[in-house]
Amino acid sequence: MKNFIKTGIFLIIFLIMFHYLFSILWLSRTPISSFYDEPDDSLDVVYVGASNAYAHFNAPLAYNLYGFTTGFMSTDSVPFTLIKYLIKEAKKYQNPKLYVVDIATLIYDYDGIEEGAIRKSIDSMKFSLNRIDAINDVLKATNTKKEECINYYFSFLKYHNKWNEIDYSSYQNPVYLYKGYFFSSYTIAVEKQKEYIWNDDVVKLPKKNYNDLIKLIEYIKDEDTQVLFVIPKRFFNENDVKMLNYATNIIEESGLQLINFNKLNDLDIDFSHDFYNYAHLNIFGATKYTLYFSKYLNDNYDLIDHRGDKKYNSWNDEYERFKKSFYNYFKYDFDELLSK
Amino acid sequence: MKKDEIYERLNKVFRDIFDDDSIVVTESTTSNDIEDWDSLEHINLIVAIEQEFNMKFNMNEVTTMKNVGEMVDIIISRI
Amino acid sequence: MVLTTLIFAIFCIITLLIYFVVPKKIQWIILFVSSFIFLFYNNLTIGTICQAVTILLTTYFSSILIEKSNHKKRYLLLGIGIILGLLIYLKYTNLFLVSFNHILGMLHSSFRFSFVKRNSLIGVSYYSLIMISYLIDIYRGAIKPQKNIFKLGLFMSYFPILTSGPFIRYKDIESDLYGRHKFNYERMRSGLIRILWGLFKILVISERLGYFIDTVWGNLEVYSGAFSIIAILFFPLQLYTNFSGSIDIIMGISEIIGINLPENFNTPFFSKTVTELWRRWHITLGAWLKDYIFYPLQKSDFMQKIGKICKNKFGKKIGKKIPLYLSMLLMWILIGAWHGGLYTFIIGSGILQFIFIFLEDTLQPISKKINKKLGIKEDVFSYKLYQIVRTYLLFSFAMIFFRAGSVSNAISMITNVFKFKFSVLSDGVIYMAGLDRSNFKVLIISLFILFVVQLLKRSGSVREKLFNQNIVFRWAIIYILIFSIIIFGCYGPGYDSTTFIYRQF
Repeated sequence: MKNFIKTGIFLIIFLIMFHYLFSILWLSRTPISSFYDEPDDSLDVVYVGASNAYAHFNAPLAYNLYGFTTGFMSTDSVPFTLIKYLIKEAKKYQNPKLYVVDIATLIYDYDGIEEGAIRKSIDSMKFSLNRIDAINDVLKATNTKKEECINYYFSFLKYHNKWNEIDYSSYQNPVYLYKGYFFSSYTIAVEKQKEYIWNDDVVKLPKKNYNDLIKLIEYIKDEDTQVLFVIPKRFFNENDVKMLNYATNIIEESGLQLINFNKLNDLDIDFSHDFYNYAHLNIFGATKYTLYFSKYLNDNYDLIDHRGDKKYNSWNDEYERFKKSFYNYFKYDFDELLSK
Repeated sequence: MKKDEIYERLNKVFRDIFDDDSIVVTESTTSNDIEDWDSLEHINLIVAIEQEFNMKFNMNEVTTMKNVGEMVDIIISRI
Repeated sequence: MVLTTLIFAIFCIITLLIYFVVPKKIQWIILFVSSFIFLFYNNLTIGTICQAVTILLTTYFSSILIEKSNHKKRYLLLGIGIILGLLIYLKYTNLFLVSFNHILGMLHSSFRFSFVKRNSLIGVSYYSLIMISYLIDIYRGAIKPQKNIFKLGLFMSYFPILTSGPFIRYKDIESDLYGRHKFNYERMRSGLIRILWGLFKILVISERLGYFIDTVWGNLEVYSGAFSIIAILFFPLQLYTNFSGSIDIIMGISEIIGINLPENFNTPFFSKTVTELWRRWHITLGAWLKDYIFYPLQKSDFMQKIGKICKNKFGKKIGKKIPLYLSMLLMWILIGAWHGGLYTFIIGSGILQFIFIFLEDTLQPISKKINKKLGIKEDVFSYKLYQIVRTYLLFSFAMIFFRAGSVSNAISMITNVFKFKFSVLSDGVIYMAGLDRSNFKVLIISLFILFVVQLLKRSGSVREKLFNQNIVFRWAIIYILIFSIIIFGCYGPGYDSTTFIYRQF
């Protein structure tokens, strides 16, 4: 018995040390890590999808305006097949009124998906059966060798090698996320996109992508989850547009809702000032988008205003931190931008 | 033949093989006690003992004898 | 299944759990089943099944016939013949083809045999010899044959030893292997520490050394001078940490089960002569060859006759040495051949070793005399250090051939040594050969740890010393060990070189 307890204590200490060690080694924080930081059942909206989710929607700003809270189950170019598992994962911790699902990555070619894209989302997820299912699914979808699974199940198999890359400077400038929102101060003019106009032409989705979409819709219906699909405002090439139109039809035919922000004329985002690269809004674009979309969410869904509730103080703090950081970049107050 | 006599004759063989007149073997002597008694010299020793006592060890005995005492027991049982 | 993989760890955990849960009467059956799963893991074909069944049935029936029949020798030779024939067919076909090609070359024929690849079962070099010694022991009357063929199957294929030994003897292991074992906490603890230490040796040291060594050996035209010298000096360490690390894992698992295996290493690099080194390196192979080849050969009537003739010709002193050296030469050629079906193995781990040992044996009296005359003390630290370094250098030199793969590679490696430039050591160029600066640091520190542990081992079990410490210190050491393996171990994606140097033999 005594030995049994000793072994138990030994293992617990080991696991604690192991956990901290790998959070040091891995370093990267993703919006999913921010999601896990939130107290259980404290989020009103969960925004799922690739980088268009957390680069476009300024969650602390939305809170400041309407008092509802938004978390991101979202990482860089997350393969579409993982969306289902990200929603499942979110459900374990939160009970939101609404899931917003960004479908930009639906059009990605599975053969072109890189290890990094899979890893960022998988490695951010906590160890669970859901995570194992997600790994099996995404590796099958991307035709990765079966033996590779184990390197995804246990991500330390890959990241232990990072001891050699880490030095003091790695800790100096961590990417800072505001409740998951990623803020970019750069601006580039995305000239060629200016010309492109969305029409209603369609082209079929590749079979794998089509199946993923159907599976996701089935899952949502089975679980009776309230979902709003969105197509983000950004550049898409002609074929992308046609595929997304096709997907839009499928989603709408199944009775679910979708907003295509590229087709909204009253969303005054322009390609010469509001982007930091061809696919992502900068702080100015994101502010316009958040103002528009948070109002839409507040008007159409029964979201609670938490402002004034002490339990939600961290949202105020985060908004202030964001404003400070904005001031540091542009030397004028964020409120000035808002009042324009 | 008495044990004492066997030991006396063994001493003679050991001294001859290992070129050392100071060797005195006892029941508990092992290869660790005699500097040159290693696997290279082992068979030379065994063959010399076989000739001295006009008997044969079998291979199993050659490889498993632990000390001189065991060796003497085998010699006694053969002559 | 490679010993350092997670899949092997899971395999062992499942085996051990079942082993300690089932009724003790059938524990050996669990080991038998696991061993056969291990044996055929990833290599289940008609051919491999035939190999295993042939060896098992051959051993089983000849052992019984040897015991019962009056023609003991006939059945012994038949049994050995079949096992050895299969081993040679599987492992040495190419060696013979090379020889034929050489002869054809000498005869100016343009025809050449092309090499063949045989799909042999894992561990065939190990259990062939184990089964041969089993038959010889029965012939010599040392043991009774095992009448249960499945129990014999377990003896043949006990899974931990299939990858890299040690060689076991039936009478030493019989009671442990088929015996009943209760789970024991102390044994588990001790076994696990040994496994960790083995993993440290392999993953942190051996694999890391391998990057450097493989880079240099893989690009002989690029790396020379200091690179070559370091690669040559590193190689025995790589081989040792890899091989003895595997043995540590194997013995650790067996310790948890309750099976005592013979030690295979005893701090070999503290040896003062090559002779001594081989007494401390791959001990069970040496013992096997000694008991089943060297002694019988030396004691055979044929060798005794040669001895007599030589004594008459050259006098007693030299005369008795000649059969000894002849037997030794043969044994060393066999050791070399056992290591692999290439001439370089026969040179590196055979003939050169024989030459060193022969010279040591013959020159020792002379050097003793010289030292006496010059007043050089032999039992002081500096002289012993000199002997240890000399032994290591000789061994490293022979191992050039062991590593080379071909004689011409070995020769270019040796000539590379003389293209020495000092600049390599000063301006960080040395970090260009597979190991960067920080990896070199890790390597040097872990080699120092290895050295300290080996020093401690000379005065008794290091684990016992550890368990005598207070819990804080003890746990700290264990945590440090575990985390250095996890962080600094060379494994996972990007590191897939977990091939055992000794496993292919």
